Amino acid sequence: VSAPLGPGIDAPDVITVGEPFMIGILNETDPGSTRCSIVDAATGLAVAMPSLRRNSEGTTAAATLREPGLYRIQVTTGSAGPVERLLLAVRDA
Amino acid sequence: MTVPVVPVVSVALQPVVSWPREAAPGGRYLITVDLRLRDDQAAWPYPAEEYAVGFMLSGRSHLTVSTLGDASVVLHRFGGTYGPARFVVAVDGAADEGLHTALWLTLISAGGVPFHTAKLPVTLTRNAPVRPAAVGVPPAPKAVPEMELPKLAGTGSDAWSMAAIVVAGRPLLALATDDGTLRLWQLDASPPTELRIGKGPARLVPLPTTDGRTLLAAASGDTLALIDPATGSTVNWMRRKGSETITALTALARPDGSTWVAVGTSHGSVDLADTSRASFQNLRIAGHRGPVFTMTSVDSRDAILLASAGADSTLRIWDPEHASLLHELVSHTAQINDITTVRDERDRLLIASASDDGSVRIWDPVTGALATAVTGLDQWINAVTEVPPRPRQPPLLVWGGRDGTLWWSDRLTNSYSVEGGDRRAVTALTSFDWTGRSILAIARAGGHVELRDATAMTAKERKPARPNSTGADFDATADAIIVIPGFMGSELADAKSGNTLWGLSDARWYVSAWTTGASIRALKLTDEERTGRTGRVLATRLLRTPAFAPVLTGIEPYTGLVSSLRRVCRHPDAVLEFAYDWRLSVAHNARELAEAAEQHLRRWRHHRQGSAEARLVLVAHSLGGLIARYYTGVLGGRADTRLTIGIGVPYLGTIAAVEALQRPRPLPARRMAELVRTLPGMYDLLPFYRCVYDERELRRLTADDMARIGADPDLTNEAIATNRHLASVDAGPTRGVVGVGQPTAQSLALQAESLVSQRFLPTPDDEGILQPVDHQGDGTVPRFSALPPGEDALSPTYVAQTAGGLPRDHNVLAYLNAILTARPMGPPL
Repeated sequence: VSAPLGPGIDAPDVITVGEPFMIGILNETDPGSTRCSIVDAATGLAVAMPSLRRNSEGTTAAATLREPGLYRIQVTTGSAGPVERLLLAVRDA
Repeated sequence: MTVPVVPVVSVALQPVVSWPREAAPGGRYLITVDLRLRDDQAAWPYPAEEYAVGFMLSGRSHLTVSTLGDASVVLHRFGGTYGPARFVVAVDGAADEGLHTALWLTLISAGGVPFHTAKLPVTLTRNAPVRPAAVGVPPAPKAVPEMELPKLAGTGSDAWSMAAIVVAGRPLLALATDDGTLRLWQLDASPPTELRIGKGPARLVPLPTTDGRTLLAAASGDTLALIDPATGSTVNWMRRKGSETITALTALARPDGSTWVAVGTSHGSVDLADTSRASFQNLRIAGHRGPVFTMTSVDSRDAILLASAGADSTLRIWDPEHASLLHELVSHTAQINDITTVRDERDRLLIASASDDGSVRIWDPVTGALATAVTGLDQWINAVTEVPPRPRQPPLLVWGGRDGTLWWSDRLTNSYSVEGGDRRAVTALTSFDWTGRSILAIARAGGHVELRDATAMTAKERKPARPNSTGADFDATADAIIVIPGFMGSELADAKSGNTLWGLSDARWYVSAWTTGASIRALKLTDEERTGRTGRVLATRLLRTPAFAPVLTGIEPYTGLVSSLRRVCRHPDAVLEFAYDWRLSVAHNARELAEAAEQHLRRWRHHRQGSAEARLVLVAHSLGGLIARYYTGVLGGRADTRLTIGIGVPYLGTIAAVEALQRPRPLPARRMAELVRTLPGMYDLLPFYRCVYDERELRRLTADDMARIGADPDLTNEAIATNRHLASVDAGPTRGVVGVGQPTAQSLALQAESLVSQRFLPTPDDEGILQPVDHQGDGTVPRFSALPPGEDALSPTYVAQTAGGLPRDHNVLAYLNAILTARPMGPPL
């Protein structure tokens, strides 16, 4: 069991476009306020805001990206600013 | 309503000036200035028989002017004066021969209004004649000593958006007011035409059309309307879907000759509207974190750029054709109310931004660099505009504040003239040409508009208390700062061709590079480079856009970190961005850093805003922290360094380096392994704490382990030697910023021919039995590895953030600023 040290992101670094992938969200301090979004790293424009699913294993979000490119996963929970991680989407990972 | 037009009285004057067109360095020269009527048969327009005209003579570089007696002449109605005004110019003895410089003569009316300026060129030469001959200067335009302009009545509603256009050869002033109305004012006719656009504050922008006309695009609420100002009729209109209202707009020329309108919204979106199709469809390109207040477009040499700014205090530069963000400029500390384009002395188009933080900043939209800033104005700045170049005059930048104060500056420097205060707030500014004169229109709260003749306005050398400083009212650090980026955090270029090898702004490059591998090959270390003959690749600057590498995930740009640090320094020059070739070893790059640091500290100590007592503060990320430690602890840099701040630095190494060096795996990780196996910089990141779980014991990583997974044992041994050295040195005071909360590999398990990373570290319990403990980390560096070793290590700060996200995390930036501005306060009062 991880110590609750603030929000964390568990996601692959490279994904294939068109195929769904999972984002694990760790250490939620305020589950009701947790938001996950994926933005285009070049423009800052949100391309996906996957809904969150919670079970005994934790919180996850399933997302699919349509275009190859560089994206940024952003997770906020409570009053904490976004935790961010970059993600590369390619045609065939 | 009738707008009265007052007849203007005028008389044409001819200045006669005697000045040295060639002058010797170290010499002193007499200059006389006189006036005569250009047409002595012309009617004398003044009630009195005499009219006094003052002169202001100033010297450009290497020329110092002093006045002999009264710096004015009295012109008589019969065409002559009672004698010239006299000045002495002294030439700097150290000036270079052959230098072209100039004197500037300004004529000032009896009412104190400057009405003409002439440039008097001077060339410095050793063989200058002793006495110059009297020569006439170019005649003044028809001088208007006392200018009268129409008075415009208030609209009753604030105008935050204003523009002047020409319709049927006459200027027309258009105001968009808070009551959702567009008001069109013919300056020599009345009354204004009023057009209701929508609900909510209106905004407008002139919109040139392909047939040579100029329309007005006006927005209010969710409505964008195209108005023909000649007829006052609506040509076209469109409505934006959703709940957002339009809060800013600008015209955007496109490569095909058409013009689009870019709009910013209350929710921070920036959209493009195709006015020919009356559609917003599929043109949305980007967003701000708050309402957009102001936009403009910039025709740079290579492309049309779009700039937007607003409540989130950032100025963003976009490439609208590729829908990409070029720069996010974060120097302002409060909302940006207005931006405009302005030309510098080399005719480059820059952007001026006016903010509630009491500053006006000038930016190069192509490079994203802050060119200059006027700060410490102690006033919210609402509006800024440029008065275009006037005859023989430089462009004038004018800005207005919430207490009604008006400032103007003619050299884009931190010297300016100031007027007013205690008046109605300035809400919008614009300028236009009217019968050869440059007119400044000032909109004030309540919808009041006043016109000023800016033809001869010049800025006096009025400097704020702390010229060119950041204007901070806190105790800005006097130290010199060096920002040292992490692995893959510097842009690299081919030294011969100049082609960028790493750090390209187009994200598609990373998709192609890591799948085909073609672009990555040029980054591999050659045999020559490995033997120390470097120079094939140059590190050009710190990363400006996000980059990506498998296993290490992303590398975020350092622009926000650098801008933030510059805000707490006495001058932006205090911050050095140390770009380096991250492919090479820590030892190599530390020697480069030593040279750069010595130069930077010396320059800063001699800088006019610097301090002889200044020392270095090293702000280092990731691999940069190891380079900083080598510099301070091994190369003696500690003596000059006050503090090192290590952000996500793998002082004990990272398992991610082993993962990156693993045997061939699926693409694109295989491309990464092929590249980094040749790079000493990657080996220096290997973990050297007891991390290998072998035979139920923890031991250190060896060269044999690395050879087993296909890595270079020699490079591994060199890295082991470097790491042992770094573990034992005295590196001076060091603070760590430690990322936590992210799943992070912390140990390795031996399995056949591979090392399998594990997200825990076997740690002895109370009975000495190894138990898996998840310490987490920043996703790349385990939490315990980011703690600076040694006796001089100071308390670390922990932030829930990833390795790439740490240098742009707002909490980290705030922490750095707090450290840099902290001062010992003594006992409490």
